[in-house]
Amino acid sequence: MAVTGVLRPGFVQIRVMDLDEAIVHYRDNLGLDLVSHDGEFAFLRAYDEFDRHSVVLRQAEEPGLDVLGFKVISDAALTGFAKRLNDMSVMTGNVPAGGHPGVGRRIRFSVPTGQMIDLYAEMELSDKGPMTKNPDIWREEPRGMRISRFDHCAVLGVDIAASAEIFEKALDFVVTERAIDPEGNPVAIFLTCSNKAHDIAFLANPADAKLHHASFLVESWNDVGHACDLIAQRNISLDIGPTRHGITRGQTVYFFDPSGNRNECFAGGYQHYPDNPIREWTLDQMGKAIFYYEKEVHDRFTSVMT
Amino acid sequence: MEIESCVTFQIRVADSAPFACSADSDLLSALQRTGLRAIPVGCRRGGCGVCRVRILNGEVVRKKMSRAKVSVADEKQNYALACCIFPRSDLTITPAPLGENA
Repeated sequence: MAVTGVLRPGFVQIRVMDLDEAIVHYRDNLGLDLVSHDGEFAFLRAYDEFDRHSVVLRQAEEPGLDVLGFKVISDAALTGFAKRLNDMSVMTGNVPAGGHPGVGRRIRFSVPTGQMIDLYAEMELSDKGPMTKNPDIWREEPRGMRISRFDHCAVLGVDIAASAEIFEKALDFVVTERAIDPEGNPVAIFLTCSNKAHDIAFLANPADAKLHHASFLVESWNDVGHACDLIAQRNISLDIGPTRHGITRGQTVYFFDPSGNRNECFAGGYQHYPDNPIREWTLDQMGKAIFYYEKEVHDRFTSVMT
Repeated sequence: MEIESCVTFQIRVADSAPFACSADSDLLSALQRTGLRAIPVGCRRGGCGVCRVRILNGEVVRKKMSRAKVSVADEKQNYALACCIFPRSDLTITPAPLGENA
């Protein structure tokens, strides 16, 4: 089965308390290109992305996640998903084309854990995206942490089973891994719409509408180490890393943007196919699941969210 | 008010022994350097709220902090995030976390 329907996480819109400070972080630390900004919003793109932008920053009084956008393969698929969501009693709204520069119409809905999700089929191609004729590996040497793309978000809320069910039944995601408590209730659910170990993660939490992290891909363990060097030398606020996850096997470092939103740079992770069994973790092994080397989860990782 | 960055103040968390914090350091960083664990350490950037405190006594300069954690009303009642305040006098503060549903 080819990757079809929902293709990938397309953009993340994050609230920041100081837009200029945030632009410096995402542009100079992560290495995104600033595509445009208009005082309230800034639009950025990673060097290995074809589409116009993947990170949207909005100036606000408090940090957190505004919207998580997923790209779908066609306008017909977009209409189809809207119907399937409505059939599951999930209300959808329409964001007209041009609501953000270069973006076509969007179907917008909320999940039970409180996050707002956009689906869209059209975004302008960047004219600085990866070369397509006899291509070099990049047009210009990547900067900062050298992130190649916006990869996924992990979000928190109460009824993660209900949120995951919408992604499975209406959007054709499959569960790759989950963690369960001794009663069998899920405390973490990882889903993919592609070959990746996850395209979204839901983490159980007493409060809804929270962002755990926005995650960005780097090429290798070496690049994770390079990101850690920059974090230390530039006094970026470190959460933890370099280390490896048990869940997804990703090699990772977590840190915070100037507004306290958690970012991740990670490399690796396994490929998942729809015929693969689900990997399951028990609550007593959460240390190994989250921090495979340390085998314990520190308070900050579970208590800090925006 | 203008002040030399090398000026140091004494900070007391509830009834604990005081620690030093210079005018150019936020309270949380100074506390971390002592190894004491009187206030939880979160994002250190004013967003997550886990280092929320109430200033019982003394003057500070504030950086921007999440209004979801310190509202305008909170601020008037001397609540703050320890990672975002810089002392301008000796201070007495007490931890003031929001509940986990916040």
